[in-house]
Amino acid sequence: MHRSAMRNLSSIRTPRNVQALAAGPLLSLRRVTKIYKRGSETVEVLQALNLDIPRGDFLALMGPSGSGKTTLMNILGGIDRPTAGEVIVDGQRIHEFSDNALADWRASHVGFVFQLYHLLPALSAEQNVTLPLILKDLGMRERQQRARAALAVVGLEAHLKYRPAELSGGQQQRVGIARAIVMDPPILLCDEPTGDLDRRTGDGILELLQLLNSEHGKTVVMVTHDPHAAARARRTLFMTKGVLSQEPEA
Amino acid sequence: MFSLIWGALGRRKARTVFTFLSIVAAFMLFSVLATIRQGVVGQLGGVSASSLNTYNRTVQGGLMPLDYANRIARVPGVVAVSALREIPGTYVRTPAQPVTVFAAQSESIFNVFADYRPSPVALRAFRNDPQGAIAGPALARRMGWKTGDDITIHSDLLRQDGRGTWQFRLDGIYAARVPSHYQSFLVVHYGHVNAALPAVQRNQVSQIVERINDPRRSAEISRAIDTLFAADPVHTLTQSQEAEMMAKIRQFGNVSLLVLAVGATVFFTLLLIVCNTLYQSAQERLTEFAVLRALGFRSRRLVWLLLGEALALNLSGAAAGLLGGYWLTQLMYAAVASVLWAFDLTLTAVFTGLIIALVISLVAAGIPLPRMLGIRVPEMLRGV
Repeated sequence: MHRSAMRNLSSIRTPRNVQALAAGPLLSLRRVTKIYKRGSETVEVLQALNLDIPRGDFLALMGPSGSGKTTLMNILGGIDRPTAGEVIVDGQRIHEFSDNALADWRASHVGFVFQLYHLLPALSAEQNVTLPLILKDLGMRERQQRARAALAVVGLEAHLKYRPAELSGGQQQRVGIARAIVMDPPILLCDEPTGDLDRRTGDGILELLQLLNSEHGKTVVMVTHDPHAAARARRTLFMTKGVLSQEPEA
Repeated sequence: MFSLIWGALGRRKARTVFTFLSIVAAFMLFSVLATIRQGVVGQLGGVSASSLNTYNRTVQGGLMPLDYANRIARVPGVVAVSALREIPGTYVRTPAQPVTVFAAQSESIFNVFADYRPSPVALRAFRNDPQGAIAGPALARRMGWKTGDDITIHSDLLRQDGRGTWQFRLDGIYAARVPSHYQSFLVVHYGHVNAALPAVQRNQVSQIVERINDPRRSAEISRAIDTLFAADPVHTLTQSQEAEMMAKIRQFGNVSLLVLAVGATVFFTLLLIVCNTLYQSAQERLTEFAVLRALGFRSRRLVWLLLGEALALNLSGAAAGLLGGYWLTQLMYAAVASVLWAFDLTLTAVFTGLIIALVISLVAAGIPLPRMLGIRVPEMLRGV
């Protein structure tokens, strides 16, 4: 159902995201360290991490709670800053950006998909999807067209006027994905996107993410606890106590 | 942004509605208080120190012989005189609204009050029409009168035939460069009224108005006028319009201070209510703000969002309250007009109200701002 709708999104597609797995990493972390202070205690959440994520990759990050997966993803998405190290995205050293520059960069480069959807309850599905477009200098009609195209991609064209409370968990997550792709960012960062859904609904969401990756060229980074979900990714990395590895800790 | 602001206000509908109603009620009260204040102190606006009023000192509210006007006209410094007979009454179609009718000797009243100017055509028609009348623009507007209309006034002042019905014809409307409450007189011919009165009531006047050549000499000329009648049976009390109004206003006490005290209390309470509403609303939406930040909203845009919410709530409530207040004061007008004839919601009061709403918005939006701007996005998104 989404494949035909995907063609509708071509109106908001830029040449950038149709390049599949081009040479050179899209996202690079160089010796990234993150230290939190909790009272007098300091916790090193990320320990001098190095990571390259090529354009068009679908990477699953697994690991136990508190291992630093979400922190890593937040740093990749520019909503958190490393204590030390470099974050280079598409050649831009985003860790050096000012808060405002980082906000502008997020708006155009990253789409976030959250475990708890984080939709604004007072707004309809269409209005929620339109939110990022407020930041672009677009007319009302174009905003609406783009939001509807994004909702069509996730199969919710018939639910434009529904409020989040009137939608199921799976449908809310689809609205969340529509909001993430409406600005046509090259990167999708998904934090436990199926964590709050049953297996069948979760499979639908994963299928959608796979589709966005394979047919739309989105680079997807997904944090998950679920091996079944991770199996949908092109590759999986494991995180333990702030350190990345190819294999899970024994 | 509008959908975001609207969505935020609609998030807790009951809370928004109650806060909105509080704002409406506060601004309605403000309108009424401001109108009462204007009703008292506004009477000073448009009065002149170069106009004097002469009344019967012997009997308060009593009449004086018409001849007094001719004698006053000869006092040095007096440049114009008009003797007036007031006919207290109501227009037949709006019996609840009092109308101030002055019977004057032809157009003499317009010689004294230079700010009241009927057109030459209206003045000519008035001169040649014994039953003629000239109305103030505010009065004509309120009553829906136009030139040529027949006007029937019911009054306690009875005619010789025992009836209290007085018939006039509107010859024109005077232009006035004075506050609207001074535009509410109906001027008719003294000769016409005088002839219709019982013999015992004729050739009497309730007030004589004078224009003098030097307002700085108003006290001196007033004394000269009163001295003129010291040996007569009816003594006079003469004072400038300005002095008369000051004395009248003093009778009400310090209305401005009272209005200020009540208004300040009401608005302080309102400020607390609005602050509480916006603070709660912002506190409940910290995660939403974090989501917006993650989506790429700059802090400045979130500040505008919060401010827009406060402005939408306060300005719409203030506008509704001021409109409601205006409507309320229109209803009250008939009951208070005889005492507070400057009773009017002025544009200054409306602008003051809107500025107060603006200040309340800024303060109410400013309180949750540090908390909103200080959120740690990653933690809020994790629900910490």
